[in-house]
Amino acid sequence: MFARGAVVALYQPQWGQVRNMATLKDITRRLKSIKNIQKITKSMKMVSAAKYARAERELKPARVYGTGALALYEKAEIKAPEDKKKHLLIGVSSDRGLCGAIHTSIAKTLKNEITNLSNAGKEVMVVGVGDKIRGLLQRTHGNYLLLTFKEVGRRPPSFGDASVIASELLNSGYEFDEGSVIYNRFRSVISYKTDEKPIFSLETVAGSESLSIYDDIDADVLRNYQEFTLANILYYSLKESTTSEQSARMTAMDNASKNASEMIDKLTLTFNRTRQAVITKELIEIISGAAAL
Amino acid sequence: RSLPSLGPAAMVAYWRQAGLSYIRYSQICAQVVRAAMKPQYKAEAERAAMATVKTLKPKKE
Repeated sequence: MFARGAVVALYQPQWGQVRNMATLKDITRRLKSIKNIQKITKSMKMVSAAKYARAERELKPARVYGTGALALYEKAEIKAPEDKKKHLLIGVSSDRGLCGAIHTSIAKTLKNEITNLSNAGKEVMVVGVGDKIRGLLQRTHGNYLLLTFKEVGRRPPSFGDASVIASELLNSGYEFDEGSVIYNRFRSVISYKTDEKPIFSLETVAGSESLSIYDDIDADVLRNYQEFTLANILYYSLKESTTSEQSARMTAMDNASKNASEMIDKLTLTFNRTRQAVITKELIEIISGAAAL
Repeated sequence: RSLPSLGPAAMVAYWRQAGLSYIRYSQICAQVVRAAMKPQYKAEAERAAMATVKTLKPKKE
């Protein structure tokens, strides 16, 4: 028994030794792959920077559409009555990842709103603009999803996109009383904020007392205005959202490149150390071999 | 949305009566304007107005 124990004990240290010493080939392979990743993230940052510049340029005129559309609601102080049941949430994001917390912040806000509204007894439906929203909500809140839109984020959004989304919403048959658009508002290159803008149904606006101030408004004009406002608000939120997304992707890819170069530095040091260790070991073997003769 | 009922002196637009929404009406008007543009401005306008979004209706189990 004592002899057998000794044999078992002998095997253990050899296993440990083989695992600790990463061979030169392993380190070279890792180094090569991390250098490739650094190149990719750097190029993604450049691409995002170009797209961000364009998106910010197009955002300036687009802001006018949004503020103009919402001006009536704000000036006339239109508020939805509390007892309204049907609610609509539109989460605006995009299809592509690697942009930091863009999609998760929208999904988190949506989930919170769904919980709040459901607890208050209201009926909620969610529209997801962008495949990521669908992916994040499908598993847990799939039955709340009314519509989703894909192919968002590949090209900069146009008013045509907003019109398509607005038309699909109006044709969907879901007669909502009140709604809100949840999007990422662009503040600066390094910061954005998840924001919420309201949309009201025709009945809410028509029933508002303050509307009598305005001249020449009949049901038809109001209905046209409502439909156009919906498209406007969607266009504005799409523009803000893409600008925030590109700036966030730029930051994320920049951080990734920095992390990759840190890893490369550390790995290069271990590579040199390992190389010197291998040379020393060979020297020792040669010398001890020569000494044995 | 159902057809608007013609109340007292209701000025319902002809396109609304035909079943178009305001968004669809303005899209058609914009298409006509773009088709009437001079060639060097037309291509740019067409490119700016392209809609690439696709709808995905969730499948009901």
